[in-house]
Amino acid sequence: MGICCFPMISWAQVFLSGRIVDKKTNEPVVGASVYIRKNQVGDNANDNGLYRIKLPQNGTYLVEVSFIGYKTIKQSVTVNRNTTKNFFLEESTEVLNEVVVKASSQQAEINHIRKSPMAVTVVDGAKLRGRSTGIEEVLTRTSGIKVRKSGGLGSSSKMSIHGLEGKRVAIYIDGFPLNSPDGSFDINDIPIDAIKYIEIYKGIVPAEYGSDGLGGAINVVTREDECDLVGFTQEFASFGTSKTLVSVKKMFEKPGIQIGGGFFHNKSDNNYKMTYPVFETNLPSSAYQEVIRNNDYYRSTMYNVGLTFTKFWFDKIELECAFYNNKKGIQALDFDSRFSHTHGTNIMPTLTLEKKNFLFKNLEFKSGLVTPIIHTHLVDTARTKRQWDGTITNTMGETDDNLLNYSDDKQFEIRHKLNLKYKLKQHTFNLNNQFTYSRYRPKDDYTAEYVGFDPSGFPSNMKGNTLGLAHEYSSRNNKLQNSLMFSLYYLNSGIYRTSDKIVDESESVKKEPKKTKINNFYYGISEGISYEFFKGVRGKFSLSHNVRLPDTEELFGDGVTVKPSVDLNPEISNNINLGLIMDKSNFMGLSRFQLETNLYYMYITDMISLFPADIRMIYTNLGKTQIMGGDFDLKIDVTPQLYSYFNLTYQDIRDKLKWTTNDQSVKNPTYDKQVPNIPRFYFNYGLEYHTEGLLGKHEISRIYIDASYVHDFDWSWQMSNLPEQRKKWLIPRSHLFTAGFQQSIWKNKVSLGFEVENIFNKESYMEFKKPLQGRTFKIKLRFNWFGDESSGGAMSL
Amino acid sequence: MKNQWFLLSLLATFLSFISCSKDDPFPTDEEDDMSFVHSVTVGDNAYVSLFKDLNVEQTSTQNSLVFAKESFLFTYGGNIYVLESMNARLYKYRVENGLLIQEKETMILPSGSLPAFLTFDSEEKAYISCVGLGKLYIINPTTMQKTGEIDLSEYAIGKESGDKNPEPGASVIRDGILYVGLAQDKSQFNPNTGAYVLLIDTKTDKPIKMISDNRATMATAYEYSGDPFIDEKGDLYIYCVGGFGYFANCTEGFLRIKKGETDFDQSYYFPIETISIPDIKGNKANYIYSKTYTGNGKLYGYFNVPGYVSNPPDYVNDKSMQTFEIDVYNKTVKKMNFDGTTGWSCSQCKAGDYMVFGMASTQGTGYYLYNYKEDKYEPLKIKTEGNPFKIQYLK
Repeated sequence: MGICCFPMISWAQVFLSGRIVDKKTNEPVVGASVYIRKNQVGDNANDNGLYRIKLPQNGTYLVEVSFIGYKTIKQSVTVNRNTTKNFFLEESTEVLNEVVVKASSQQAEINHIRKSPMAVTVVDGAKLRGRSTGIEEVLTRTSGIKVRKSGGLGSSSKMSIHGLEGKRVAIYIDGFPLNSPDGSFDINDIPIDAIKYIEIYKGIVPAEYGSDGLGGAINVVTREDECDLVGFTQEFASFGTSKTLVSVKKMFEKPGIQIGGGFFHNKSDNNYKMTYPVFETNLPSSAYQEVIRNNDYYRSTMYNVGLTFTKFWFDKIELECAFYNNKKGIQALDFDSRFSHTHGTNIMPTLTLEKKNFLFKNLEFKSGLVTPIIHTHLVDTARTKRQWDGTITNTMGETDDNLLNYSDDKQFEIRHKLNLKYKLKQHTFNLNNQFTYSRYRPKDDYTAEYVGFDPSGFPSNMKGNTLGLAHEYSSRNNKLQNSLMFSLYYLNSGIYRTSDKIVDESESVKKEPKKTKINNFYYGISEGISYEFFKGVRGKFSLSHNVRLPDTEELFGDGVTVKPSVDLNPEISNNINLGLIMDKSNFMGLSRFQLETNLYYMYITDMISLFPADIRMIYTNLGKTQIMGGDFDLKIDVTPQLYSYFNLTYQDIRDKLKWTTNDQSVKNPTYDKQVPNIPRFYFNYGLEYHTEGLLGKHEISRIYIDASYVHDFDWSWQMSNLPEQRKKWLIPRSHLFTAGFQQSIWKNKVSLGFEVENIFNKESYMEFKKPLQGRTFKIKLRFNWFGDESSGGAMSL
Repeated sequence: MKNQWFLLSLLATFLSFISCSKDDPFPTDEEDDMSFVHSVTVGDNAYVSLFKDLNVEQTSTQNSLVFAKESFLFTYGGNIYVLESMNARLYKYRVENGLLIQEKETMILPSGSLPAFLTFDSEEKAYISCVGLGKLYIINPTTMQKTGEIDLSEYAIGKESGDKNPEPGASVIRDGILYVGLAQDKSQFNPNTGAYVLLIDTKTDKPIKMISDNRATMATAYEYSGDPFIDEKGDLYIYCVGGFGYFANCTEGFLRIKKGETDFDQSYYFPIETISIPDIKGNKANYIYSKTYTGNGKLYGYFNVPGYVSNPPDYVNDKSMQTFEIDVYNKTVKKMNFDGTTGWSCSQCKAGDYMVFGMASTQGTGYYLYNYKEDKYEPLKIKTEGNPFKIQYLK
């Protein structure tokens, strides 16, 4: 096998087919997955329970048959020309839900999500195992999404999905919003080996996430292996970067108890070279220099312990507690900042309850309660700053607020999510409720001591509740799927009117300003339909009316430069998506052919944006934007070993606000112009060769190259036609290449990975004047031992 | 070829001399000369361009230079200087064929220096007030090179607790002395009470003394807003902005330093906050945003009128900035017959007998004219693409 098989395309027609039925009822198990991992081919049972897989040649294959709620079957089947094999699935007595199904059915689960009426792309975590890549690098190579980094590990980054950016894109881990005290929790902190798959929603977000948003969302689903395991990963990379991950799990089958623990520590100095200044013309030649990016370090550590009971009245009771802390330097970029930093802790106790037949048969119950306790500090006490030419100048801190800070900010949240799912034949009803309570207590005695009062803002409370109702219909043959969702949002908040006079200097105390209460309901609705026209070819259409509620920063301001905004309304978007997906095995001589394409239209109103408010700023509802675009994603397994992909996104994003003021006296000068600072055109492509058995039985080898192109885009409105001027505001195009290889050893218990990012060491930017790192080397060692070998190894095909 | 360029430049100089002598913002002949330089803001940028005269109907940003938002315009010796405050850069331009052509290389100032004001002493000497540094930079505007600096840290209120910056802002030169208004902040937008002005000898560039007056607060609004100015008698007036209406005990008002004196005139103080003003909602204004002196003790400027601020404030739609005539001799104010404008669109300059007001008012965004000699109004004479931010008459 191995390399010899690489060019071989079979002439003979070899098929494995049969029927999959419930062992007890003898009824067909519609949608059950039949999968041959080695060849990466499979099929799902149709409405009669029938499946058919085309194979390259006769031989013995390990067939995995799985479906949610059933025990997975793994069986060797000898195939000779047309072979028929029936499988009898046995209902599982263990916990039955999507998360606990084993890796063998992961592909079926991913296929199931892809077939849903929503515009969604799924990245399979199995293919990433052992890679030295971060989640952001994976996401940015996916169609319709661009990750806009501002620096190395730990630096802020913006997700751009179909033109929606920043707060307009929700990020979840296992359905819970990714939360961090100061926004510093980097999605790249999540170890890539812990990912089961990543869902990228591009128009409608499923109601079960219970959250608001304009339709763009990323949900990282983490692995939950149902066996004893020990895992260790160590990665080193250029610029003082290292990542360590340890995970252990012990199962006690009889009492139904699982104990798990995890630890990660990520660190980077991010001290790469960059040019300063940039994007400027006609400066003295002596002004340009190459500098080292100092004070941009990042350290994060997380400890996680979990205890799960599976044999009480609830099918699953999970108690988990994570302790996270981080420290991060703040590099100003336009001078050489050396001291300012943030550090904080986040303790997240979590209780999860699940029961399949809750109260009555077929009613599934899930409840999740998280109570993050967050404590953060901004330390910015420097009274001098170092310019890039080495001169020292006076300053009041190194951050933009021109204040000396040593803040002590506390935040406490309660988030509860309830999900009830009832399945009645072809219909599934979902009721979701998410309650959020947030209490914020900012404090800065250090600033108060010299300013005379604490300018860090007033305490604030916010309560929000989202109720979602969804109905899903799936025809018996799975050809037709329909999803109708309705969400009701409730926002209750108390905001201090700090735009009033706030200080009585004669008493040197801060007078408490008046408080305004917000008590409002909003709604969102979506409808999606998907239909399989031919086997493996499916069309999708969806409409949605989405709502994004203002967040705490937008409502309360920052106490210094951003005022609280008492009457801020949510952002609204109306979206239309039209999609086509095609997934064919053994198609035109190719092992597998996958195509996904989407056309999308969004009209966003009441956009929340910063606006000048006398001498400060305020968030206001100002802006209408129209987004039209398309993405195209092609994945081809030329042979089971050779995989290639190409995806492309193009979008036209225009300002549709005609008048700036309500009385229509002030025309908006940017009406119908391209909205700046959003990448409009980008594509990615890559090639991978992977094989099993090259360096020993069961050992996996992989070599890959990825390329990513982003066309230049304006940082600011293009109002001037002078080419010299445009240069100052244009984020230049980038075309970057990454290559790497991986090899497993010791029966796939250990993997070694090596990767070079930005091979040609090109200067690149995804944010204005924020240079990204040049050529970066990464090396990674991964050890994984699973009690149940079917759970996988250090690498996966 | 070189000679031809020389002749052409001589011709250009000659033509500009002819047009300069006219001082007529409404010329009748077909000349190509540009009379105005202005900046408009769109999003996070300021767009600087020229326009010919007040006969123009519409301005465009198509041939404009692009700067970060807080960029200020200054003119001296036929050149236009742009001080890009947030980006800490100084640019020098000349006018050629209706376009702004950069002269010399861009001058780089220290990051965070927030240069906000430029005062010219001569062709070879000018002072830049660096609000963020607590220093004045001395430059040669001809060569665009820094020639020195004046450290003001010892004049900072709160220096005992480590505050080394008295926040120098707008300044003016009278009789060989540079008068620099100091904001004396405790923190951003939070001033120490009292008005502080530093006097510097322009021959030696040594500070002479800092004078103060506790009747008003903040002797500079960080950026250029039409003061300090010197009247025909040689008296120097300075407007203290209080705390932009935010702080109860920070009072605003005009103070005066009489000709021949170097201390505040204790007999003169003119606050507008305490005046009951008819014809405006609430009969109160709480501070003057910007102003232009036109002679005989008269100024024209924008007052912030809290009565026109919604509850809660609507910073997009509220037209709370109202044009006023101010008489600093008689201590009177008179509302002008223009509707109000928004806080994000209010520029002004004097052009001949006209006051040009850049406003986003009820009739649209652009320049509204007032002939102060004849007391005549011309509403929305020139429409602008973008929100008027700064304007200078080049004649």
